[in-house]
Amino acid sequence: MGAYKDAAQLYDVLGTLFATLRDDPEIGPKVQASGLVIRFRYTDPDSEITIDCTKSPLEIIFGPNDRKPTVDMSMTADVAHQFWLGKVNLVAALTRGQMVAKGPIQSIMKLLPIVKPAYALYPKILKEKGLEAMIT
Amino acid sequence: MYGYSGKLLEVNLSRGTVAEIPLGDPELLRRFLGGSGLAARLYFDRTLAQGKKPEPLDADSPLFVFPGPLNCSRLPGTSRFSVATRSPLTGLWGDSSCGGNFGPTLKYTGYDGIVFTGASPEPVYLYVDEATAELRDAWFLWGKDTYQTEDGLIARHGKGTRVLSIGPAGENLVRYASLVNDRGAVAGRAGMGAVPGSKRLKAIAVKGSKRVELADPKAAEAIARSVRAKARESVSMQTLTSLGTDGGMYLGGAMLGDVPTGNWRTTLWEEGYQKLDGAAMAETILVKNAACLYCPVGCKRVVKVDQGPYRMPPGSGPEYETAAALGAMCLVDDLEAVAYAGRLCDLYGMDTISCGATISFAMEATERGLLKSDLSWGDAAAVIGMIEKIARREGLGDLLAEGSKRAAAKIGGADLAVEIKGLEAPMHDPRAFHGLALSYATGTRGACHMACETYALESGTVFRSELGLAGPFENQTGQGKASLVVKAQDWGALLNSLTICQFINWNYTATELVEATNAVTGFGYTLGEFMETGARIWHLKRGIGCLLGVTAADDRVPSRALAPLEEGPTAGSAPDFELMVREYYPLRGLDAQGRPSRERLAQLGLADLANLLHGQ
Repeated sequence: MGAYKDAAQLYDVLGTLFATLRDDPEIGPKVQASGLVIRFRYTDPDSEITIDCTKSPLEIIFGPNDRKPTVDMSMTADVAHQFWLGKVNLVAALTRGQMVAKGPIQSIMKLLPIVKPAYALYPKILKEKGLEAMIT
Repeated sequence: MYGYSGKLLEVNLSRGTVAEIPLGDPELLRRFLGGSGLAARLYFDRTLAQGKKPEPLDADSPLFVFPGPLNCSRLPGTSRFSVATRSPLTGLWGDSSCGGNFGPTLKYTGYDGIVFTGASPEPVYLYVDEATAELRDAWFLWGKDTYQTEDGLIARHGKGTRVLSIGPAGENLVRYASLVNDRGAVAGRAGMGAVPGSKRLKAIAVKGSKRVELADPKAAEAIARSVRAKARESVSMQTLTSLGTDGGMYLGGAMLGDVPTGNWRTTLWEEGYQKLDGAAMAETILVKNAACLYCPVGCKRVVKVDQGPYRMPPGSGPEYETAAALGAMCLVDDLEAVAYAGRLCDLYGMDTISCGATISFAMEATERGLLKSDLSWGDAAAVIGMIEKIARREGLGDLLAEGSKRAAAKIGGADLAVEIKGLEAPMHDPRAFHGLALSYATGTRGACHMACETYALESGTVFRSELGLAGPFENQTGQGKASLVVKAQDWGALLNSLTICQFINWNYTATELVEATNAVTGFGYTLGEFMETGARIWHLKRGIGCLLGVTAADDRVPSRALAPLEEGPTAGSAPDFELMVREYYPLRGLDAQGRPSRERLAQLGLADLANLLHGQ
């Protein structure tokens, strides 16, 4: 079994992560200001989260939808989990196709300053949800 | 002969003569290819093998300007060429790789390279086209910057002329002077620009369209199509196109701890990395990207600044190394100022890495009271003022024009200078990628990340299953890194002898590069023979270094770049250098003095080098 038991758990954990970033007084405005529509598409379990920063406040949408993404990121849920734990070499993952990024490179790179603080938040969120066993 | 014209130009600047000489037999070319590999072989034959050891700026010191066999193939990334000789900065083997249009155009004149000997009594330039090769008076160019020199020679010789020149820094024998073509393609490292300066050779102007025959043009084109298709899909290549090499500044600095900052003392500078990043450049001063000949990527930046103290017209923009050395190392986070500083280095003809590293050394030396200067952290105007002084060797600039090692020898503060064998380390921190420590320590020209593929392998930018380097590699460990570095260095020796771009090379599998070389030259290498050629070239350069004074004691990394930082992405990380070098030496066949063993040299067909190193 992968890190997440099902899509519902993935939505709960990553949804909380993205909402926390949105609500953070320092990080949230940066995310909003990006103006991006970012789609994360996962497999195992199959799931999709879209963050629409063209709306104010930004919207986090679970599951398929008709928003047009600026940036489209695909990966397995396990890669996503390891990534937010800070354990995935981003460059290697992109080179090997473990993460597939589509969209203007400038837009993709705008996400990096948002990723960095998320690394610290993700394990805290797992602990708060009683999912400490996922932090390995 | 495929892939080669079969001729070199031999220019004797003392006598003012230009002669055509045969390139050499095909077996020589199969063993050393071209570029810096062939240059090293001819350097050895003409000097050390004859018991001569000219000082770098002596008239007797030969200078090699060599493209490689792939230069006329139109394969992606094959526009580079090498400038090579004994380095004025290190006193050891020096070679520098350069892109742009000059390399292929030189080959299109019908010559595979140029060897310069002697020194002209007056400033001259060399003009070469398909019918002519002659030295001409260059007084009208002497003192001019590299852009003015290029413009002047294009005006004189017409459209299609490509120019490689030195600026005032080379004329003034700044030890890290560079050569520049195409307004920003630079042979930067190891002070190659001071050597033509000492010879009063201002420039080389070439113009030609003579094609070179390939062994199997259809095979070459098929490989080119495959590589171009991969490059289109590659996120790394897309990043280079959109954001340039500086597109990695924020990722490297804020997230990986890879960007040396404040003279290697910190990596906590997130806002600075963001301000200097290629993304910031794209949103502010970038005019467009630019490409070397045959490159589908176009990583070069053309920038302009319309207003303010750093106003400048469109021209060369900062690479990552420039932004890090003149920006992060000096704690200058003003992108316009850093771009201006980089432009000055291109105009004057100076290596931005050594320049920025030496200035940041001087900043810390000033802070410590070893030096009286107006250099202080973050002061962009002072950095720019010092670049001007270095280029002209005025005041403190005269001392700093000698490089950080010599400056430290004079004023103290050797612990502040992160140099290896006299070459200032490039802008990648070994505490982020431990294998870099070993690569820097054992690099054949000193601290270098471009003579090998270590950084690309450790960072995950490339993986090479065919070479047993499938990865992924754990960045912050020394385990297994010795064997990685050996292969990465042999690969790097091949790249700099074929003369192919390191970045485009990431889109070639190892097999494709062998096949591409065979398609151009007809050499029929197997992968094993190809790697052995890389090993031969590495060992030759290493042996030359030993004959010029390198010992095992020189294979070290300053503690400033090894000691763990207390904070930042690499907090607590300390490369196990002793482990890596202990494993590396037997893999390389180096003896306790650091010399390649007689046995290994014999295997590689370098018995003549072995005799000089170990006695007959």
